[in-house]
Amino acid sequence: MRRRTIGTAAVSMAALGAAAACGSDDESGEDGDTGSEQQEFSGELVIWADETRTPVLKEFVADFENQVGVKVTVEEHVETLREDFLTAAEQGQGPDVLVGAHDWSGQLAADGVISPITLTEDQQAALNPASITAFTVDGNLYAAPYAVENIGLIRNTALAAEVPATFEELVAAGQDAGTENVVLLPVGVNGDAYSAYPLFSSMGGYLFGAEGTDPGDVGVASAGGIAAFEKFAELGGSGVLSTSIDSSNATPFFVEGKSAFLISGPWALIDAQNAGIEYEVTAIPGFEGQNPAAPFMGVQGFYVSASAKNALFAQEFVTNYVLTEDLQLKLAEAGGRLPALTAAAETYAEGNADVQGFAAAGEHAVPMPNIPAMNAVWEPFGRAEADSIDGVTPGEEAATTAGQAIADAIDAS
Amino acid sequence: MLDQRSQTAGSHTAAGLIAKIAVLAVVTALAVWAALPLIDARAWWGLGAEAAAVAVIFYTYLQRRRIPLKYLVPGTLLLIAFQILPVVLTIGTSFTNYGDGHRVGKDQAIEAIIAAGVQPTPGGNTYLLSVGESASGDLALLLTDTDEGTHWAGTEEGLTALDEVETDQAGRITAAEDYEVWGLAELNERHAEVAELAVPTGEHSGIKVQGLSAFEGTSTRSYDAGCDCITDDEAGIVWHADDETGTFVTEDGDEALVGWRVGIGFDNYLQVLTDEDIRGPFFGVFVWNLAFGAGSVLLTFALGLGAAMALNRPGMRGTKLYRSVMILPYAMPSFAMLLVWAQMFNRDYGVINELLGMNVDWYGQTWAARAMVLIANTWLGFPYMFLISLGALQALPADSLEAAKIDGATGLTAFRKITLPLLLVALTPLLISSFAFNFNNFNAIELLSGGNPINAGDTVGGTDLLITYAFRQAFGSSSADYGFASAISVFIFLIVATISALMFRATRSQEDVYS
Repeated sequence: MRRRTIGTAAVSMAALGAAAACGSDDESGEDGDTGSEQQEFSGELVIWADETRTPVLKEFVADFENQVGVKVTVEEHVETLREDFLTAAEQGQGPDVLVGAHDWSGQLAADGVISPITLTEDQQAALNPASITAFTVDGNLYAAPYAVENIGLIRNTALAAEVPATFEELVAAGQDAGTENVVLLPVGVNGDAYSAYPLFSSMGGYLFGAEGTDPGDVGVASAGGIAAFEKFAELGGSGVLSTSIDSSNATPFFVEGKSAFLISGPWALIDAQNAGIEYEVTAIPGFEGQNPAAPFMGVQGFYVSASAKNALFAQEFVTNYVLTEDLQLKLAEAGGRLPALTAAAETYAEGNADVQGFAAAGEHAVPMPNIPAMNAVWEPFGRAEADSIDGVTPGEEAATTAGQAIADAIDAS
Repeated sequence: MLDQRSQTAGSHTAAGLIAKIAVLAVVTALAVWAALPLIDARAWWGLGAEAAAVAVIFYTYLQRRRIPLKYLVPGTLLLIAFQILPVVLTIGTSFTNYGDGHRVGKDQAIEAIIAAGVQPTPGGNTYLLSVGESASGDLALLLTDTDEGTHWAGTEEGLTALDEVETDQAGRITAAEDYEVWGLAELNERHAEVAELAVPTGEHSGIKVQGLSAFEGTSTRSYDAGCDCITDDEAGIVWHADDETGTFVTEDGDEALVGWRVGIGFDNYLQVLTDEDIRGPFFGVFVWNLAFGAGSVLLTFALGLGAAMALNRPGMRGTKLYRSVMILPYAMPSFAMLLVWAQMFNRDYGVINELLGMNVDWYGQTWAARAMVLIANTWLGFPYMFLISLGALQALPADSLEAAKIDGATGLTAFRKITLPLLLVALTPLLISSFAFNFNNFNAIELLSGGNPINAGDTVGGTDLLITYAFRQAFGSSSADYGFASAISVFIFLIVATISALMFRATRSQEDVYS
């Protein structure tokens, strides 16, 4: 299957392209005819990406250049990719293709700066279904997904041998380990809704209805939501969770052996590996007798700009080229994230325990809501979490005030 | 010619003349460079302003008289470009609905809404695409159905089967009877024509082009300029354009996803004045804002002046070393320093609590947090005060102090009666500008405390300044609203301008007393 797709794409594009020189049927495609001939391009494609993805993209777009005969320019935008794109696109300028996270899609679509794309039923079936939901706004798909990520439980196997089945077991094991902290869950003085969501969802909390798309049904102050914030208050009172732990010190503390458990994503593994810590990645356990803990899923994808000057190449690139297993594997190896193509994900996870662990942790993951109303959630949710953990506000009160603040902010916009 | 010009231009030396010609040549080059994109964008107003500026420059420097003008023009032009223009633009934005959901023009909004109405027909075919042009110049989509191995030509009349075609290995048509097949470059260049070509396959469905493929689908939405409305046939929805708010709305008041940018008059200002979330806490924030600005100036000035007086004593040794060390906080990027300070104030792991053996929750209690931002801001700001105080101290007339000494005023009295008043004459304008800067010191608050402590349900935190509060109101909650944020900025500008004007007036009377 995989061979056929790539071969077909390669051959068909080569034939259409002005540079028919590279019509190599060779699967590897790496023994290039790049050097000797000056390639003549019949067009240009401009891609904007952030600093971590630019180097990888530069490497792999060379294949597309050879196959289609189109010059591909990848421009790096450090830190401010989304803002840069918005500023350029609203004036009809900017790139043809944008590489970005799925939670931008609601804003970008409402601003009219990205174009919807259509994938065939076969293409959709080959993708992780949640990754398609993630990029869907108002019933339209706005990007071709290539990688998914979620947080999981990273356990120091020297300090805790057993995989905890429930959060209660985790707390007991963390206390038995005799370390300074029971578990390192980033909270910080402002709270951290992203890290807290698995526990929140385990107690029955939810955001924006069952589908994650209904701004009228916030769910922070629902029965499950209140139970979750009461749980935060309880765990804060017993010292399991603390606002002194934030995203900047959680990983260093784990590396220093200050706790057996860290709740974080694939990005935390590099430090643990460098420090030579024996660890295992598993699913975040839910509370006993409650729902499984569902983390947020983040998806990366390729958007087509509504003001693309080379719309043809942009559409071709995004709808056909991005969805090849080869490319997704390369991006996965460089970025350490699970590919969105199921087949590529299986290949990538083979023999890689870390990836399998995060994939298992993502089994119940829900795409982080992409509707603009999500922007109204982070701050009040985080503050309510921090306040209930600090014991400043009782759990129920924190949940209801946060729910009210979020609903007000959504109404106002 | 040259001689004549040198006379009229008033340059006295050849070198001066050459320098003048060089500078004016650069100005001309810059003007041409800037004019091209302006012409391209048909920005005639911008072009006019640019031409006027260049004309003023040439007039000023190509004549002999009006010497003061020659000194005033560069500064005035730069003042307009970098001070007045941003203020004008901010004020202009404050009268629009510019922000998320209202970023693009109306045409682009219509396009986006219509594009979102294209849906593939369930079970419809997908094709590999080529485009052919007939001898008479009519376009046709040359389609290959790879599943069935059939070939089609799609025109405005619909699909007709093609028998005699040549294809590449993938099956894409490379040559067909009656048609000249386009190459890739032409396809990309004339993509708009291809996208506009409507090839019907059924009553509502047609062939939709995407990249080098095509699929069977439906466009459910269309725009009618007559009623200025967008109709969605399938969902049975009609959105009417509301030019006052820049949105397409149904009769039930449901808005289409994309809106556009329009002027909305004083709505943003009215919202600032009537919004309970802003009006309610405004006074409290304002008072703390004043205290923060004044406190920062007083503390940094006291510390800076103290250090300067200590180092200005005759006989003080190692002053160079002390001075270098003293400048360090000023030389380091405040951005990074503020983040370091933020970590140092961590309740459980921070250096400050550990060193002093305290357990203060710096972020959790209002007064602790206020002390924290003042401490960190004082450390960041005192080197500046140290520098200007040192300079002013060294410029003080020695005879006044000597005379005071002879009259018996020493130590504190001399400082209070002679040194400080003389210093203040020189430094007050700087102190006022320092106040204006700290009044709007967004970085110090945002990076240190983030406005904390903010209690659940509150919209305003204990250390929030007007500017951080406005920022959160405009960008923090739902989505960016530049129009609203600009309106708040204008209010803050008015407040700061009023305070500064009052203070300068007070200074003037002070100068009268001492001079």
